[in-house]
Amino acid sequence: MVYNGILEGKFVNLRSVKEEDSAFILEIRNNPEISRYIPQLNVNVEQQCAWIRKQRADNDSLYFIIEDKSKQRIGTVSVYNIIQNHAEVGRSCSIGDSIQNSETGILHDDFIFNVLCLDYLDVWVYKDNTHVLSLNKGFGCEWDGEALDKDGIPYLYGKITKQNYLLKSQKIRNNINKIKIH
Amino acid sequence: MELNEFIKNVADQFDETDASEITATTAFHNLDEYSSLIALSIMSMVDDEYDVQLKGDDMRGAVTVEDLFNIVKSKI
Repeated sequence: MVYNGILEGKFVNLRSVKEEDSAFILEIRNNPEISRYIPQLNVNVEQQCAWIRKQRADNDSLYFIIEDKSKQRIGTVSVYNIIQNHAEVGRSCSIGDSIQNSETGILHDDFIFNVLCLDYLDVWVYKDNTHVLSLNKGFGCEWDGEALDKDGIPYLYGKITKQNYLLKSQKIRNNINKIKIH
Repeated sequence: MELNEFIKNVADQFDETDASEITATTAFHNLDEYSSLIALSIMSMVDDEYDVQLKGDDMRGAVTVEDLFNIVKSKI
């Protein structure tokens, strides 16, 4: 799916991925320092373009480019496996700073809960990815349990409900509002 | 501006990390609970308590709590 508008924030904007973003996506996804916990993409630019064409035509995902306010691309984020009232968030990678990354989470989750009108997000995070476990908790995630992936690596799974998100996100919004634009 | 008070204020931004784990030499980026949201909370606390506006790069540039203290002190 494609969202034709722009999710506009104070420090970042989110817009739908286009074919011209293919090289950027490959670069950021294949940078092990940035995308350590998500699969690398073993495709070339043309294959990535074809994948984006397919994604834009599907009915169960949205894929966004994160831009700073000078329109420089700084990352990606996506909501996918949209089924009835729930979905997953992933393909998250960013070279932005903590303010930009926090605002990206707010813009994206506001869109999910208020525009797509979903009720909850399914979340799973590798157990040793402690910073992202903490980040999800900060957005209202409650862990339901632990399991092993196909390679035997442990991960936690849980949910972010709209209700929990609204409760937890207020502090984040207040903090973002307080930060001045330099 | 006192270092010990600053350390306590930084520790207060963490919900699950024991305050005793946070000292002047703590590399705070490495704490399990550290995330973009904790960084944002620290920036907000610094604005409230010290009237100093940190940038994202200031957070990235500091390794230890004392490094961050020195950055804040230099901006007062």
